[in-house]
Amino acid sequence: MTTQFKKGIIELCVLKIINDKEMYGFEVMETLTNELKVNENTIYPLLRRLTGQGLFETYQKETVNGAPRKYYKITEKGKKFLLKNLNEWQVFLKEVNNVLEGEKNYE
Amino acid sequence: MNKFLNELESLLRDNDVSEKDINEVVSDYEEFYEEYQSKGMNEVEISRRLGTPNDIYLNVLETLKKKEIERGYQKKLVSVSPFIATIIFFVVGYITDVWHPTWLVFLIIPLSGVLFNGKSFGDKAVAASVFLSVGGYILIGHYIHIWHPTWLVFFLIPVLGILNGREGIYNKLLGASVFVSTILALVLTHYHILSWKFAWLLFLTVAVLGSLPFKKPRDYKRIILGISLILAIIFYIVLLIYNVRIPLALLVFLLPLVVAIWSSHININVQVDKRPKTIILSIISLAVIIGFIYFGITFNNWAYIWQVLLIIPVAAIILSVDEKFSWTAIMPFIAVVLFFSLGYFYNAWGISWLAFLLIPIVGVLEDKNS
Repeated sequence: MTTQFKKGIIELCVLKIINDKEMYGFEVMETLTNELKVNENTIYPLLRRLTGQGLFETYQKETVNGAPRKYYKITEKGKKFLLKNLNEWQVFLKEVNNVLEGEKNYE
Repeated sequence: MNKFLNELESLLRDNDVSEKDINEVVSDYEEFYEEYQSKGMNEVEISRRLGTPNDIYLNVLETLKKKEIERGYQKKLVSVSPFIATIIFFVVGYITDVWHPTWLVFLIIPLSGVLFNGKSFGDKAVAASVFLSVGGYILIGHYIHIWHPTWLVFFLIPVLGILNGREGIYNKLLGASVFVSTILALVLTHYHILSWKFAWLLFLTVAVLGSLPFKKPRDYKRIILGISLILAIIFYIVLLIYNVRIPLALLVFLLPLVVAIWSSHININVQVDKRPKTIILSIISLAVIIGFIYFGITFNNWAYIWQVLLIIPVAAIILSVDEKFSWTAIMPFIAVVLFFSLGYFYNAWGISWLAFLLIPIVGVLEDKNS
């Protein structure tokens, strides 16, 4: 799998999990690395880029023991972007499955 | 802030990242760092997970804003500084007929360059110290005629350089103590506050600091060595006060020597930068300082010979350049020597200032973008 392709999928995953629940940076890292084989140090640049593009907004939240955490929340723009890309992804996945699992003879 | 975050901050600063982005990235990584720490990970493991500061920088590069825009007006000020200096030089020169040391106003040119283009306060202070030392030395020498020990002001350059480095506070203290103790010893002896039989003890500050167990608090052998050294110094002072002859009093230093052999600290473990460039620079610096003192005493002419000290920053600049050598970087020093030599030998202060025009000329000629 090419790095660029993988990057795109991880981006979609980050959008999805933050859409489901507002999270702080480390939580995003942990959630993703538990589910996917992904390098931790690629998540933060992604969060920064998506925030810069206006797909996320951030806010500080106090914690009981330590310093306040920076939470990421999906924006309306981010939700639209996610929906569009999720649909595209589903269609793409279906098409790929058709090709890989089908029994057509291409000769 | 820990070493990892310090390195990250310095790297971002060195790459002209805007202050807002530096604070944001460092604060975010501080948060990650603390989270990993709370899970019981050590520094090495955390660094492996987060990547090196350079990896981080490259990964977030596309999201970073640079300082270029913020510096627009500063570049303009640097550009007009030669004209401002020239005007001040002529106005003050014609009104007061004091061309020397009015020429020092030309130091505004390189000074404004380093102050406005320096990447951090520390970098600016180190670079500015070169020109401030020259200015301070000449002003005090010219008006108060105290060329020695005013020349010690040049030690400001290596001291600030060490303090601005990325070493830990302990190594910085150790490095700076060499110069600080030299300055103290020379000044105190020069003004007869202390005689050399006591003043040389100041050089032992380096050894005493080196034996302090900052890094390993439970290094008892090192603590014993430090105590023996301090005891020897105290005994030596007491013996001299009671008029014991110096060679005999020096025998007390056998105590720390024996302790050092016993504790395997015979070579006190100072972390020395052993890169060839550093060794060459150290040798050059030492040779220059010895040469300066020797020729200064021999010819009794501190007023001209001080310029030999400029070899140190010039050598540092040449040796620090990894790629192509830049004449622009050393031109301020060449200009100072040309200007001062023409003025000093031919009393041509009125025209010798033209030497400073070499700085922008060479800069323009070497600049590929021009």
